[in-house]
Amino acid sequence: MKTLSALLLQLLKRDLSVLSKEYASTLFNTGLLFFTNVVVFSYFMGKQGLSQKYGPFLMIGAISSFGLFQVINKVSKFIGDIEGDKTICFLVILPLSSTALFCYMAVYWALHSALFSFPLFIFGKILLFTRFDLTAVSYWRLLLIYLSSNLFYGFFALWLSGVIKGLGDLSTIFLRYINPIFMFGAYFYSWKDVFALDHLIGYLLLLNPMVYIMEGMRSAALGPTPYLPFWICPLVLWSFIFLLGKNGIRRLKRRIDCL
Amino acid sequence: MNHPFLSICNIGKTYYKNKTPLKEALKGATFDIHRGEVVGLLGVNGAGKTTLSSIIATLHPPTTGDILWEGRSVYSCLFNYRRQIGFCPQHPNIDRTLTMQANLLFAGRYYGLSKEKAEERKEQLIERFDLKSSAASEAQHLSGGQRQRFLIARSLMHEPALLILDEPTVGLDPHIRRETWNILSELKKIRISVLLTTHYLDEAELLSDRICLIHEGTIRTIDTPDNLKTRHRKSNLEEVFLKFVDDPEAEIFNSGTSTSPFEE
Repeated sequence: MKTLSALLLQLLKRDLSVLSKEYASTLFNTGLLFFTNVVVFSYFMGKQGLSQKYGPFLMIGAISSFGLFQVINKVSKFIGDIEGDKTICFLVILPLSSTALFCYMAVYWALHSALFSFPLFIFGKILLFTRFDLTAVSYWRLLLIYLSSNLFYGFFALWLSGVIKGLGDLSTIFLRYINPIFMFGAYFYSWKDVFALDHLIGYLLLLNPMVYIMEGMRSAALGPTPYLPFWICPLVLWSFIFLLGKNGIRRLKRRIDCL
Repeated sequence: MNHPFLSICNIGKTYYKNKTPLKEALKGATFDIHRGEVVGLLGVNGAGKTTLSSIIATLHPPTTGDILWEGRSVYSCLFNYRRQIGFCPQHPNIDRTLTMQANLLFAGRYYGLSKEKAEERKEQLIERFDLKSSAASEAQHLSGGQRQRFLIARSLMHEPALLILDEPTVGLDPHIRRETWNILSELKKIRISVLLTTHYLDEAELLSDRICLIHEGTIRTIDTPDNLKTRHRKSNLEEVFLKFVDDPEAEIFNSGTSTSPFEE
């Protein structure tokens, strides 16, 4: 156990040393994307009839969905490595199980997303100022759902890496998985809006894990009233994490043909 | 009872597509590697050399058979076994995002070397493999030869007892090839076992204590270079190999496994 944790710590050190080289530049890009979204929807769209509350609503959505768009990046790098450099073949013969290695990768990817999306909370507060009321935030709930959602993205990326056939299939990831999950994931609206529109569609949307991320994050950050009951959200996300992890690891072991 | 350092027992590997057998890459490969012995693995492209060395390195699981490390299945003590082996693959799987020296340091630390020990070992290997000028460079800025030397150095970071080298001198300049041979000869002196897959017959003849000839996934014969030359009345290994390539199914190659000079 001690040797395993020492090895995992070294893997983390390596990944963080690589990340440190690109952190500032990527954070700037992320911030710019976030800035344009929040400013347009919070300030410019008011003339189209959007309420002032829509700014914080969308800001939390933007922070929550950041990890989803990072998934493509992670999957493409990993598949590129499997098909190209094959550094994974060096890692899978280290003295640790491939299951532990793949779980580490998913957890690191979660940490990676969190390290970029966390500063957006502060940036969002600066941009929205009084429109984003900090007294409504439940910090423990926010921490729980934030960690759960980033872990979900990490294991989702792992699972996708086992599912897609090769680098040529990257556009498939976006069109077949990311975009539908995002558009039907309660980013622009709340789940209760859709449920009010049509109960059946509302129930169908509950199959989408993104709904639980958005609803859970908004419930924790903006106050619980118009969203799904909070505790359902981390519970369902952890079920997805477990299923995606189990299936993803099995697929990756078969793909790399490792022990 | 004295067990060989490593026993490859009836290893088979079949690749499947949609549960249908696609290719039988290895068929019952069986031989021993003794402590301090260099075994050369020779065969034409697609014979199963890389598959076999990857299975011994525990990169891929075998379909059938077992590998015994001092009498014990490596799959029952996988992590301890992995700490005993160094694997230099055919493909230079170097982390491009790190410098060469960072790659070496992390490789040592993954195998449990202390920071000081890893630093010391890194310096030794950089010196020994003449990598000083490229130590601070990232992989993409290195020549093929530098990458290859680096790969061998990386596989030696944790001082393994068995080194598995898959085409280690491909793309190296002749003088660096010779220097690599010297390093491999030094490893023999300190009783490190080596499984050497190569296409260079002069290299195999010079370095190997025994040569293993493999054809279509089957080990046809394993013997010392001298015995092979005598038995086939040839003056060098290249001629023996050419004869083998011409007719790998010939009865004379059907001699199975010989006794190793390293057998205790």
